[in-house]
Amino acid sequence: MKKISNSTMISVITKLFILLIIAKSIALGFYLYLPDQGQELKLKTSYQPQYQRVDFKNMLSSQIRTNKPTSSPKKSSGAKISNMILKGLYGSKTNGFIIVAMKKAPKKTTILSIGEIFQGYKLKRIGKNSAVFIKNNKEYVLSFKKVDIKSNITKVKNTSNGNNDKSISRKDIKYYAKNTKQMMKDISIREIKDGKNLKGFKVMKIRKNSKMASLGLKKGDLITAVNNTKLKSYQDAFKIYGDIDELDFIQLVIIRNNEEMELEYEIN
Amino acid sequence: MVRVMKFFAYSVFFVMMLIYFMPKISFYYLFEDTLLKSDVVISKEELVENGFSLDISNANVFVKSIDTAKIKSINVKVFAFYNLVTLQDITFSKSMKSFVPLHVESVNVKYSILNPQLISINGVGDFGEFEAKYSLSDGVIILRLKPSKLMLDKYRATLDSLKKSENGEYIYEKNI
Repeated sequence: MKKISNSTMISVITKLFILLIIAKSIALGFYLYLPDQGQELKLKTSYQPQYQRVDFKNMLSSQIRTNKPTSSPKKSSGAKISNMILKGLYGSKTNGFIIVAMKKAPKKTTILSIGEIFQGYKLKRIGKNSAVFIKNNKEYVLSFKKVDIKSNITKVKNTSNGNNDKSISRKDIKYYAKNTKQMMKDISIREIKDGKNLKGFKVMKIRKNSKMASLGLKKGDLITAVNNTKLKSYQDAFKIYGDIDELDFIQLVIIRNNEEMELEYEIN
Repeated sequence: MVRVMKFFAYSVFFVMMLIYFMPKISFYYLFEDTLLKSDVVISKEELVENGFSLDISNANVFVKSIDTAKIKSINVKVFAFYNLVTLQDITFSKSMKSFVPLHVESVNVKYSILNPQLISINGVGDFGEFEAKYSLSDGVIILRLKPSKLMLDKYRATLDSLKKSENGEYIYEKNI
């Protein structure tokens, strides 16, 4: 009796062991066949310089162009900071340059690096929308907002198609950001790919008499760049959307009827 | 009868061993490859395989390269006859704050052999509670949302895109 029980036990264990070996072999087969590495996000590196309004046309045409200040402290005319205009800036807090001019001669621009002196004011640091000068141990802030934006837009814009500069109310932007349903009603945009690469975003539909339509976009326009950033991925577009509250100015590069155009908006 | 019982017992043992030995992480990688086709990437997650389950922690979800959500923990339990995926502590990216409340406490996805045509999903979060059923036979998902006060007060635009039922629930139906 004991012998029978033992042999049954051995038979059961053997069968279980065989099943276990088969299960392990199948699992091993899957292991060899299935991928051995997961997916990680591979970000396409797209160079995105800090965007600021720069009067490049004026920079190129102006005769007086120097990296050195046009006037030394000795020659200081005692000009007030309020008589100065910040025309452009590029860089970080401690590195970079700004473009300044006097209100009475806005076309006579000067490029200043940190530490250089203009009209007796020494450039101390560069902010996001302003430059900080120092004079007689006192700090003076020259804000970017004081620039006559509209006049600059006219100079930098692609004027191939007439009057492209518009202004948008920040209120409208916030309204669209909160009312996505309304935005989707007013405009429909679809990605356009050139093979695997994103070519831009095409305006498929735009509702007449809507705020979107008043911006100058038309059905069929292909938006390829925003604020000097080529839209190569959704990430590029989303980053701009995320930062839109901080922008004072939007520049769109679009392709309309196979012609590249720029639309520029000042955000009030 | 004894033979049938024996066969059933051996089958169960075989299936359980098969599940135990299966390379769950490799299956997860295969799932990631499938998600990639829809431009969804789960990144920087930590994976731990435990016999009958797979634990995934600190997963960053990117949709079309956009940082969309962070999931603190995902637990996948596979028993062939009953399968459960539990996602906990989901935080959506700030860029989505105008569409939905950002925090989701938990989401459970269940599949049971007792109801082989249906996947049940339920979740709780700042948005309220939801229950969804996905029919594998016709590919239709029906979601019923019981919105929270926050959702009703601040996310009207999102709710407006759903259908309101007579009992105050919001229904979303889509053919996937």
